[in-house]
Amino acid sequence: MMKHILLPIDGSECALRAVAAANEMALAFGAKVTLLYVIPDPRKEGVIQGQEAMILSESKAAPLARQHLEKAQKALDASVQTAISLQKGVVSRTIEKEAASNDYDFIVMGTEGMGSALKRLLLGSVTRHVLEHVKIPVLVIR
Amino acid sequence: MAGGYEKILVPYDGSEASERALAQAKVLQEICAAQITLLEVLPNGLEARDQVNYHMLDRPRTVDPASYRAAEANLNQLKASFPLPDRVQVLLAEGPVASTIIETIDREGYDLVVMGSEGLGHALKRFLLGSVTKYVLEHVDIPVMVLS
Repeated sequence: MMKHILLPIDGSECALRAVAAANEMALAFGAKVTLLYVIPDPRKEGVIQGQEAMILSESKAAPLARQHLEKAQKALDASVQTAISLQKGVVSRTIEKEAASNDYDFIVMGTEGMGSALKRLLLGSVTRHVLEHVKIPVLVIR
Repeated sequence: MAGGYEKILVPYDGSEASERALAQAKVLQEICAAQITLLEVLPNGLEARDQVNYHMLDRPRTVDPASYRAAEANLNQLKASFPLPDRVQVLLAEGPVASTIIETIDREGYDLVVMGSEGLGHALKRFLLGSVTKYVLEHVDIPVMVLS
């Protein structure tokens, strides 16, 4: 019923709060958590001006992604069963595909990721995409 | 928040997505015995001014007593369908939907909102995030569980 949580993270503070919320839900429901980190593919992502600095070279992106995943995994209670998924692609669509592919019961994610300059007022584009394209419940954490 | 949420707001408007939010809230109440508030905001004509709902422009500025009573009776029925009806509060308000939801959250202090991704006003289902849901997501500090 609520047994498998998809937890997309990106190293933002907001994502860390989502990790804490997913932990609570996992404990309450006895659910398994799959942590997903998507390394943005700059060739497909449509990078807008001023964001170039956020796209790391491939050699740097993967170790950083693994760091973020390990940090998030450590933040989850030891009793919570976890899995880790590191993928590359367009972030929003990769999350959407993952959500549809692996019989998840719900998603926990932050309202905005690394990309939002206007924090608090904007709903991040990735979160918005996920809300508009997935069929399972999404717990959105500010 | 010992393994769950304690005070949950469920904005309801009779749409399919809000029915799914209701079902989800029941699951959550079963797991964590949460206090639930079922909120229905009846939009009146003033709605059209702060949200562009053109289909509502010609509506009267107040909700007629009959639909008010019907909504109240419906909410009380829904309340009875919860696992712990004694821990469900029914709240009926009138006004602009999105800002009334936010005011209720600010006033009552919830730790979770469970709501549908779009309400009754939507033609382009599935691809649009409803304006009310979007407004809530952008204006609250608490977690929001969105059901599509």
